[in-house]
Amino acid sequence: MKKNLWELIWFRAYADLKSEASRTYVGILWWILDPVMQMGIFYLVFGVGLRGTGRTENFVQFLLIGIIIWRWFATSVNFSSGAIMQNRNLVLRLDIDKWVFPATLILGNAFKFLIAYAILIGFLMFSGMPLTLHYLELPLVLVVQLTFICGMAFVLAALVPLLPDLKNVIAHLLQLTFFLSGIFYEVDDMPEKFQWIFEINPMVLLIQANRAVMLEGQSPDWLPLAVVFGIGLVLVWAGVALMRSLNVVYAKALQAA
Amino acid sequence: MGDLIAENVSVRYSLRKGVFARRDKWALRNVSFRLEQGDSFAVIGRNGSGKSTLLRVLSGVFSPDEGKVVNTLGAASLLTINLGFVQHLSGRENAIMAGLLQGKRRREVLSNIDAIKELSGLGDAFEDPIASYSTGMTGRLGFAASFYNDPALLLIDEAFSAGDDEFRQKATELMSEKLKSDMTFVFVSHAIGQVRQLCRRGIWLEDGQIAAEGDVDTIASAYQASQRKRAEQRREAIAGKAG
Repeated sequence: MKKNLWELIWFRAYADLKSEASRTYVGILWWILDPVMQMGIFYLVFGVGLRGTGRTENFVQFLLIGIIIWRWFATSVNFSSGAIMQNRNLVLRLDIDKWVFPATLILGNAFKFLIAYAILIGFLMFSGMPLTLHYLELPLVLVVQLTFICGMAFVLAALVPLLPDLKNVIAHLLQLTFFLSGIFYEVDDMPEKFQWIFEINPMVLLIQANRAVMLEGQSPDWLPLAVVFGIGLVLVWAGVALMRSLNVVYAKALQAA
Repeated sequence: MGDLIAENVSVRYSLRKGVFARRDKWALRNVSFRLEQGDSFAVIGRNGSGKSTLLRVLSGVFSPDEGKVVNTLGAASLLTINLGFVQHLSGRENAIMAGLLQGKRRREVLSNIDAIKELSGLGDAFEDPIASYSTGMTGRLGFAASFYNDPALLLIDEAFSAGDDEFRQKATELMSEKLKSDMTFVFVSHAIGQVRQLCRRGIWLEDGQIAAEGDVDTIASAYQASQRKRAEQRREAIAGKAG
């Protein structure tokens, strides 16, 4: 791996974040305000106002964990899928490894996610959830999710420049997966004949792993997470291989577009 | 001593026309030439004649659909001004970005950063966001940031039209200085004066094909003659319509 590419990814992610912060008055404060406001809305709607949203204990906490974990995945994949097209100018002028573009967006997004994640944990502590040694296992859960995100993002980023219509489909598929990831309800509450849909959904597993630690004070179920990690690695490899083999095809596809 | 041989290079674009219909267009057709180490080679021609496509093939951004390019000179790199510049970053940060994009390590760029600042002539503005720069200032930064990039084959696309006359003069002098070394370069331009000053030989592209090749004065004169003729035809056509 060329060391220069890592420096480029870090610097471009930094540039993206700095630009984003410069566009508003309070700048970087938005990275804190955004998750706080989002969590605040869910707290108001489900915690104080509309009660009776199912039998789940600590429903607001349950919901917020799902939302924050999901948002990280969805925004990273959605943005990264268009990464090569977004950098048309560079693609047409430089012979550069294309995975740099989705990787940059994923890095910037991961930074913003970590802030939201810290706020989430703060809220959980404040609302009396247990702080146990199992929290030490969470960084590894995040590594699994990051790998899975990279995998999905790389494969989609590799395909979208050649099939631009895919970008429109991705938004809808993400919406569908949102409702199939057990964010609003316990998977166990679902009818038995649909359970398998949830059991093979990596996002369900990742959300459940976080809930196990944060709500139950238990160790996550590592075996399925190991499988998700494996799938993530295979997808990363496939995405990078695709981008390498299509390297000179992208420029022409973008030129004609 | 390496060289670069382009043999019957052809590049085809496939343009989308409606939902499934596509139309092919040849951007380059059977272009052949040879560059030796230390050559200063010009590519001239009108807009849309295939000049930029040719540079993309030489820099490895495109691969030819037919024919081939054999390069034993070494890495080729396109000198492009303002490439990847980010409006909210300072001149210094953008100079680092430009270096990283050209494949350099961060510390290599940093070792040149004072020279880049000096060459750009920006002074204290070097630390300000480039969003506050005038077009000329951005152009000067872009030129300075890419000047210290020394690939085996340097490809230049209308590079230093930025800035005022004084800067343009300085940039041309610096480039000719650099080009006296045994660096090989390909220079694409409509600025015939600059081409004559910097290059010894070259090709004239017309509709993706070589219209003339050889000594730079010969092809430049032939190109200018054809331009004058076109202008005349245009005037006659307009006069014809008016009459």
